[in-house]
Amino acid sequence: MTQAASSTDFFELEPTLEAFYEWAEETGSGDGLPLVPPTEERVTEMLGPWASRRDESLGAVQPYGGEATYEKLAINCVMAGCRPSYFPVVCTAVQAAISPEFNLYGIQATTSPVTPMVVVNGPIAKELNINSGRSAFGPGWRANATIGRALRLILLNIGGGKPRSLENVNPSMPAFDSATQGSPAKFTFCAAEAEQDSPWEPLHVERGFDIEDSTVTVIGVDSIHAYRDTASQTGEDIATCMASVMGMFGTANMLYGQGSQPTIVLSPEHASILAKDNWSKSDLKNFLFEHARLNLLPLGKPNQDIHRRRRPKWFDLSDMPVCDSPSDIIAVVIGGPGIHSVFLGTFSGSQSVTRALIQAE
Amino acid sequence: MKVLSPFGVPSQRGEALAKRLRDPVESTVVIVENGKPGSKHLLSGIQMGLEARGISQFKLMPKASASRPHQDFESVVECADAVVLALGDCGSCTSGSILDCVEFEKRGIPTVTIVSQLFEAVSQLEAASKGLPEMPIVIVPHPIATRSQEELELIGMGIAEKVLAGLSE
Repeated sequence: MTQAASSTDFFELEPTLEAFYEWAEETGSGDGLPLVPPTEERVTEMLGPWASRRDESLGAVQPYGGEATYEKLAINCVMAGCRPSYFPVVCTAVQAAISPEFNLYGIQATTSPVTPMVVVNGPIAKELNINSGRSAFGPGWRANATIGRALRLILLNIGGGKPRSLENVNPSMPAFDSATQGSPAKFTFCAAEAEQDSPWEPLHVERGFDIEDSTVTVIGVDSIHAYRDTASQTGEDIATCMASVMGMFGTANMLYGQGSQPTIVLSPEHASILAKDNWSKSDLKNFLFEHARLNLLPLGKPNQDIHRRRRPKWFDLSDMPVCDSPSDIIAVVIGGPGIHSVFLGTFSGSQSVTRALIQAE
Repeated sequence: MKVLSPFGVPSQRGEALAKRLRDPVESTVVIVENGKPGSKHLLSGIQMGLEARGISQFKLMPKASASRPHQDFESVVECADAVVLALGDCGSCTSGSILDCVEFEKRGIPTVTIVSQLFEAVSQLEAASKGLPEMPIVIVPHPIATRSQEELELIGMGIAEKVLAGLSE
């Protein structure tokens, strides 16, 4: 199978969905699930007002360095099953992900299971019906499922993120993804923040945008730890239990620090208990920094040594913080009714990036 | 049914390697340790091996993050005639190591990247994707992290000849 050599390359296949599914498997260009064939008509519809700029590139997708032209992004969006209305969100997610500070060189190649989580804020979330409530992390919602999936296909087909377990499948296609087990979140991971259910300013406002701006944030999520806290009724108890989850062994945050951004996804119920006790988001982050700590002394000398070497600033091995400062912590409210929140360990060599929604000129 | 290709195409191709050292004995070799376990002793061994071959000027300039670009990149460029960087023994640190060395090569500094056997293919792939398929990469056995100081220094001394060959004309 020949790899494309120009932006207008195409392949002639039997006119069936099955033929395209087989082709994607043979070329390693899919995620293992059925895909939508990217015909010229579908790609043109996806491009919409960007059709005249189809060969314009947002930049290179590392580590392979393929150019993220609007056309290539549209092709992968079609394959993922996106509606054309989702296209600007996917483009913005790509623009954020290829920022040097997000570090796709590390994220695409690492043995850790890290994947970009896409968080959408602002009016576009409601306009596109991107779920922020019950089952926002899946399954069921087309916007959530296909926006995240499109980003994954773009990282795969343009950035070289084919799993190394598939390096003998179409060997001419680069395979940088060395993840030890991988993750279900590498199929897709996208949600909107539940701004209407949050007592605090949403993520994009925290980052300097207006409430009416639509933004897309990518966070390099390494591990997903959902937990239940059914009993806490005060802000301090909620925060203490949250800290006990975040202070676990084995996250990149705990091992490396380096400005990495451990992320807490609060259920609206947990957020409301904190707010009822007059906790601001800043209060929460300060508390979590002080209390999300790991005692390394029972864990053996090798781990004490490596944590000491990696986190020299924190010389008390009985009290290692999950991050280097309160401002490193990201806190967002996502979810429906229920007493479950989610701690997301994040990749240490990466900073989350927020971008304003790309507009067609 | 005609389907458009989803595959991306890199725009940069065909970079030139930096000129290799004509006279290594007169050169300053910057040793870059990226903090991966074992890399320090491995590089010590390499340094000892290079010293035995007449090189006497070294500067140690470790990098803070294995997966990110060197935080003092310009300082390295300022003082280095050559760079030896270790260690790529996982996905992101291999990627970060190759990326740094590609950028040093583009600035005219010959490099050798030390990568463990399990990441040989992906290191070559990344160097090629950056337009430098001939960039010298010296392979060491995997794992490195669990070996003793003595073992690592011996491995380092054992590859010093290859490292010197990668840096020299």
